[in-house]
Formats: sequence, structure tokens, C-alpha cells
Amino acid sequence: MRLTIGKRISLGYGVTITLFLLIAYSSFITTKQLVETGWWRDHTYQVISALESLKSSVVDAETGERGYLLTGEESRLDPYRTALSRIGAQQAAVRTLTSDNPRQQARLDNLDRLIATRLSFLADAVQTRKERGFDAARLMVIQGNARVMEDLRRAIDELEAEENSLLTGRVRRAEESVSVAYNAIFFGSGLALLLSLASAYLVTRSITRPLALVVEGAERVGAGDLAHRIRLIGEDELADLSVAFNTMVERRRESEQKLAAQSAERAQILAAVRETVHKLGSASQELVAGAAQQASGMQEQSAAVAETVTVVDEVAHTAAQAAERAKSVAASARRSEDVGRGGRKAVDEVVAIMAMAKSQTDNVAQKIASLAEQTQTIGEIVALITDIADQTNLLALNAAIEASRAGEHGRGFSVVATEVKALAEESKRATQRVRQILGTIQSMANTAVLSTEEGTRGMATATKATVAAGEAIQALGAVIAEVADASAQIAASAGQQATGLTQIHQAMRDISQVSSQNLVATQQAQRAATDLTELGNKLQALLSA
Amino acid sequence: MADVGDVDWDSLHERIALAKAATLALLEPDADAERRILDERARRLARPLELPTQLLQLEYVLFSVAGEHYAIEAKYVTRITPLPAFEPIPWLPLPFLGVINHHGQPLPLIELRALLGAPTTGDPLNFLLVLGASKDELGVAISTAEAITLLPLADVDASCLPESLRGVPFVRGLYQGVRLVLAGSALLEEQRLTLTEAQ
Repeated sequence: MRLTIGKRISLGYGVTITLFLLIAYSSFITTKQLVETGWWRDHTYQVISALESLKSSVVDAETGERGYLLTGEESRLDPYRTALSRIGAQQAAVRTLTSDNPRQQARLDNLDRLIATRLSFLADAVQTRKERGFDAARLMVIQGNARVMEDLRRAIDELEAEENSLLTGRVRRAEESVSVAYNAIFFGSGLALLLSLASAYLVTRSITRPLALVVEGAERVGAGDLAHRIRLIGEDELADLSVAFNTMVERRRESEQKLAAQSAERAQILAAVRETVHKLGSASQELVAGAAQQASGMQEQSAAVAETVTVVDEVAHTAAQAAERAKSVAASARRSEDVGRGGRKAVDEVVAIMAMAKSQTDNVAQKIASLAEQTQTIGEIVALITDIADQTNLLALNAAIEASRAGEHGRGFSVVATEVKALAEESKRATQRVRQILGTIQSMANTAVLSTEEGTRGMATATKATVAAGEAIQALGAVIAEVADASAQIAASAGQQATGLTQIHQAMRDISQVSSQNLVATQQAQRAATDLTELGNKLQALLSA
Repeated sequence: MADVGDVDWDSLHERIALAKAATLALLEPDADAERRILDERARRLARPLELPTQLLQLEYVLFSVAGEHYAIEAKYVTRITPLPAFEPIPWLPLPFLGVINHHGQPLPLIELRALLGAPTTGDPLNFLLVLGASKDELGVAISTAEAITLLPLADVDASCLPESLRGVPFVRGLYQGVRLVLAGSALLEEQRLTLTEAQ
């Protein structure tokens, strides 16, 4: 049977609702029984109460009759008369209340007969008392049937016992009904709750499991797994959804395959077009490059020609200047001879000053060495002072010993001895410090002598360099004289060069005009090639997009 | 060659002049400086004599022998001098080193470490410690004489003496754990230091 989701949910709710209806029906029946039991209990109490009232009325009639019999007073008959007026109605009420019980009706028949007998007897006794007096009435009572009253009481008790028995049975049945109702409500509710939960779980599971498979399938297909198919569970709407989904995926896969095939075909066509465009672009670029290279060559040629013209102009100008400068160089060379002589003299003076400085430096080194020797003398003095301090220390120690041996008389002397010892120790410390300073002075003097020695060597080197410079200046004077002669010859040949250069200048101007015309033509070809390249690039960009 | 302009000759001249002036001021003070020195001396002499407690109770001479520190009562020390030359006497064994001429009198010279049973190597012995109660009786060769001071007898502990020195009559104990305190009278009466007629 096809169990759809709606049916499953309805079935789940139906089970729950049925259980709760059963519980409600059980509660209704039980409550109804309780109400009926309560009514019957009240009915029984009414019957018993009516029987008690009837019995009381019979007793009242008996009591009133006996009071009259004893006293003869008419007023004593009031209870009798009242009871007679009530008894009939009470009998009818009891008969009505027990009309549903044949056994009680039979007992009432017997009771009615007994009441009638007794009331008849009481009426005869009252009549006898009125008519024949006390003794006759007394005799009648004595001779009367005393068992009637006992039977009457017993009959009423039996009726009451029957009613009490009925009441007991009804109360027991009511209690059983209550117990059944309690069990039905308690266990039924628990069972209903469990069945409801189980029903809810099963219904939910039967929906969420296939739904999760559908969601998973949608996610995998969404991620691109078109080969995935949803596993079918059951025959409900979700199964229908899974079948539809699988069909949709299959169609999508077929579409993708068709699209891929079309894309591959289109890619082949585009690749062929792209290759053609690429070749076209390469060819146009080569054309542009060639045109550009040609234009560049033309520009370079034109620039070279222009530069050559400029250089020729400059050379012509320079040649004129060279002729002028050659004259001035000759004059300068003559002045340089004078300057060279002055430089030679200055170098000689520097050499003399350097010699004097070297002598002074030697003198300084000698004095520093003498200073170091003097520190040696100071060191000897310091050693002497140290020796004196040691002896003084020993003397002070002996003096202190003597003072100690002298006891109280030597106290003052011990102070002096201690001070002398302290002075000796201080002298020793001072001499040690002087010794350290002397060491430092000797070290510094040694460093100074070394520095002076190095300076002396430097000055000797400088003196040699200065002498060499003087000799170089002297040689330079001779060279300058030769330069002056050469400059005069250059000035003479410069005029001839200027004429030749003017002729070269005119020829280069003609070449420059031709080059300019070629350059214009080449630039036009380059622009055409550039336009072709741009077209190729645009086509390639369109194909790549 | 260094440029002459790199040297601050004025600063050098100034420093030399200042050093010279300071030296002259120290060696040949002028009248004002001399007066200041004399005034300072006068102030120091005018102060009341403050005798240190330590000097009022000079009792012990502190000395060392080859790095070991000793102390002996000052009243048994008569003099400390540089150690003079001495002649070893062949038949006198250690602790006797020999006899010295002390103010025209022969004075036996001993090696304290040998007397105490210790090895006799280490620092040289430079000084002579002359002992005696009323006259010079015994010379002890020592390395250095350190000072005279008071040693509280309560701080002299005989319990921490090494086993070899326990029971030696002229050893009182150790002061502060490092200085061996000697008893002068017992040392002078030590039998091993008594020369017999034969010797």
C-alpha cells in the first residue's frame, strides 16, 4: 500500500487521538457510574429514612394508645391520632421508593398487613377503654397478640437490612469503577504518551531520512557531481521528488555533455582563427618593426649627417681657434719657463725647511729620551723612599712593642709609634702610586719617541719627493719650450685646414636634405603598418574574450 | 707627514705649564701654602689626645711565616729586625736554623714551622722576631711582621686545633680559625729549645 507523508502524519495523530478518546470514554463511563452510585446511595438513605419514620409513627400510635388506656384522658390520644394520619402516606412513600425491588415489595406487603393488624388492635383497645373502662381494656391488652409488634419491627429491620446490603454492593462497585478509572487514566496516559512519541519518531524519521538524501544529492549535484543519484526509500512524495531530481540531473548531465561537445568544436574554430590572427599580428609587427628600424636608421642617418655638419662647423671653428691658441700657447710656454724657474727656487726652499724640521724632530726625540732617563732617576728615588718606609714601618713596630712592654708609661709613645707606622704605610702606598705613574710616563715617552721616529722618516720621504718635484719642474720647462715651437707650426697649418673643411661642410648639407626626404616616406609606411597591427590586436582581444 | 695644523699646540703648552706649576706648588710651596700647612698641623696638635682602646691594651704581635698567620704576646717580644746572616751549626737539628750574632751575644735561631711539625717550604724568611722575658733569649725567623693588636682570649678557640697541635704547651688555640696563637712563656720554656752543655 502506498503510504504517503500525509497518511503517515494522519496515522500518527489518529493513534494518539484514538488513545485519548478511549481514555476520555473510560473516564466518562466511570464518572457516570459514580453519579449513579451516588444517586442510589441517596435513594437507599431515603428508603431507610422512610422506614424509620414509619416505625416511629407506629411506635407513636402505640405510645398514645397506652397513655389513653392508662389515664383515660382524651389528650393522650394526640400522638395516636397524629401517627394514624401519617402512617398511610409513609407506607405509600416506602412502596414507591422500593418499587424497583420485588423482594422489598413482598416485604412491604407483609409489613402493611402487620401494620393494619396492629392499628386495628389499637383502635379496638381505645374503643374498649372509652366504652367499657380501664379493666376491660386492660384485659383486652393482656389477652391480645403481643408478637405482632415484634414481627412488625422485624419486618422493618429486614427492609433496612436489604437496603444496607444494596448500599454496600453499590459502594463497592463505585470504588471498583474509580480504581478502573484511575488505572485507565494513569496507564492509558502513559501508554498514549509513549505511543505518541514512537509515532512522532517514526513519522519524523520516515520523512527526514529521504529528505537528508535529497539534500545531500542536491549539494553534490550543486558541487558538480552530475553522476550522483539519490537512493530511493519508500513510495511517498519524497521518493517521487528523488525520482524527479534524478531525472533532472540526468537531463542536466546530457545537456552538459552536449554543451561540452559544442564548446570543444567552437574552441577548435576559435583556435584556428586565433592562430591566423596571431600570424597576421606577427607579420604586421614585423612590418612595423622593419619600418620603425628603417625610420630609425633614416633618423640616425639624418642625425649623423646633421651631427657631421655640426662637427665640421665646430672643427672649422676649432681649427681657427687652434691657430689662435697655438699662438697663445707659444706665449704661455715662454711664461711657463719663468714660472718653472720660480717653482725650482720654491722647491729648494722647501727642502731646506724640511731639513731644519728633521733636525728639530731629532732634537725632540733626544729630549724625550732624556726625559725617560730622568724618570729612571725618579724611580731610584722612589725605591729609596720605599726602603725608608719599610724601615720606618719596622721601627714603628718595634717602638710599639717597646711601648707595650713599658705598660702604662708607654701609652703616649705607642700613639706616636702607631702614627709613624701609618705614615710609613701611607708613604709606601704613595711610592707605589708614583711607581705606576713613572711606568705610564716611560710608556708614553717610548710612544712619543716612536712617533717622532716615524715623523722623521716621513719628512725624509717628503724631502725626497720635493727634490724629485724640483727636478720634474726643470724637465717641464724644457718640454714647454718644445711645445712653444710646435704651437707656432700648428698655427701655420690651421689656415689650410679651414679651407678643406668648408668644402666638406657643403657636401654634407646636400646629403642631409636627401635623408630628410627618405625619412618622411619611411614614417608614412610605419604608420600604415602600425594601423594593421592595431587591427590584429583588436581581433585577437575579441577572440580571447 | 701630518699637517702641522692638526696639532693644538696652544693647548699642549697650556697643559705643560699647568703641570709644571702644580708640581712646583707641591714641592716648593709659597708662603701662603706653607702657612696653611702649618696651621693645619697646629690644629691637629691642639686636639686632645685620643688614645684608641686597641692601643691601650697592646698585647699580641701578629706575624706570618710562609703564608701561615701567628700571634704571640707582645711582652715576650723584644725586637723585630731584618733577618741577619746566620751560620748553620751541623750538630743542631731542626727546629734550630743556627746561631746569630745579636748585639755581640749569640742568639739561637729557630724555624717555627719545624717546631710545630709542619713542612718548611714556602715564602722566604725575611725578618727576625727576638723573644725573651727580661733579656733576648730566642730568635724566630719570620716572613712578615704585620701589627700589634689586642686579641680577646675569649675568641681564641683551642677545640678547633688540628690533632697534631693539641696538647702542645706553647699553642693556645686558633683565633678566628686562621691565626695560631702562641703562649710566649711556654715557648721560651719549651724543652726542645733548651741547649744542653753538650750541644
